[in-house]
Amino acid sequence: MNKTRIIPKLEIKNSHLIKGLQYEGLRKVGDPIVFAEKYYQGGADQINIIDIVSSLYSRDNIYEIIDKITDNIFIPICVGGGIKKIDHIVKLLKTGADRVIINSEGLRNKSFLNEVGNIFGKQFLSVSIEAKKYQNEYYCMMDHGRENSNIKVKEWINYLSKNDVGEIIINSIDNDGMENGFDLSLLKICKENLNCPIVISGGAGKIKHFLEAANYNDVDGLSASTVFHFNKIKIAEIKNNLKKNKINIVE
Amino acid sequence: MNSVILDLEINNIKSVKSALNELSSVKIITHKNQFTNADVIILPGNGSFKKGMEEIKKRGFDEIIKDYFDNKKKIISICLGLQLMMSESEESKNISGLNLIEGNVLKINESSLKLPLLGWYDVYFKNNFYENKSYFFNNNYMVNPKNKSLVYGHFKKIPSFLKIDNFYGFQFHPEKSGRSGIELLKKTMYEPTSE
Repeated sequence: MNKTRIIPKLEIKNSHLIKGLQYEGLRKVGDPIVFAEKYYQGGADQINIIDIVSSLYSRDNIYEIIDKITDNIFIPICVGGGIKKIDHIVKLLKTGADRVIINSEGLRNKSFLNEVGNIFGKQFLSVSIEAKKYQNEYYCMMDHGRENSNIKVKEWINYLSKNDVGEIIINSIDNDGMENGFDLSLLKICKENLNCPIVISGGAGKIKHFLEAANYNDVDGLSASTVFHFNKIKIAEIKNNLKKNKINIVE
Repeated sequence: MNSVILDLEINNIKSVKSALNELSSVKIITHKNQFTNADVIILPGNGSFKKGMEEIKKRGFDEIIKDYFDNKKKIISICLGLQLMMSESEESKNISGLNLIEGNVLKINESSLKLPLLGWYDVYFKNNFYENKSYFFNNNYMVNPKNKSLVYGHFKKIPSFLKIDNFYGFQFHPEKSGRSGIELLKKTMYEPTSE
């Protein structure tokens, strides 16, 4: 019934599109506006944009980028990175963001998630989880993987399941940029608890990885960056393969 | 052709503006005292029913919308913008809507669907109004008009597109549904107004 969305993820640092491995060793890829346009033309169903340093520096870059992107792109644009205030969200809305993605501030201050939901509607809020494994247990990391919240992913999912949010984006930091496939065990943790849409992110390297995750019942979105940024796979190739295997996609 | 977007400052109006820029001259207003007569008014929306009504009243937009609706001038409303046209909503009990369309707003209750309804779903149009394609939805609630013949497009039992004279209401986001969404928006913009 649900159509599985293909979602390129753009990480941005000081106006540059960047990519790393496991959130480290970041290198410049290019102009995010050019890449977003390419993904829109290429059949993306949504674009997620994360400003990875906006919690440290000024936020003005990100507003400018979103404003330019939404001049010509007519699919959902979801934006995150350092959102701590309602005022940040109002500004993002004005520049054309459709939903906000919140990670760190939600872990630090749960009431912020409720506040956002009450003002903008629950469907407006995507909660991102940046999972990292320590001794067989997944923890929620903050500030683009720089700090451990010491909250277990399982516990956080459990909390979120009782507090309506629009969507959960579950990222594997360990698999990020490694191209060995999504971490399906993270999907399992989500599925046991959640009833909202779930997006898996981190680790896709081959066309078959998208099918593996899509076959995992109940995933709503498949998010990737490395394979798209470095022209390794086209969105159309992924969609064709999913369709061939009877996965419902957006055509 | 000129259009005015009624900005409640709680939702993304940039995309609607970008989409309409191709089609008409667009003015964005945040209060009724900035209003100048337009061929079409646009009421976009996202946010809760309660907050939406508060913002509409605070800005005096209720008067403009009522005038356009009663006089069969063109209105295009999107998502929450459509829901606010109804009399009330399960989302915000005890809050009156604009009450221009008879009916209420209900929480979506389809066992096969996760909530929020977030993503792309196939819409079927009545009278071949438009091509049946998938469009982007992002909502927990849906309109439930008393007069079912107003529903010109639906996804499952969810009314997705309403047409009343020269009023057009989208439950999904045409401005976020790629090329086909923009074409649909264009069609409603250019549809001749009926008396």
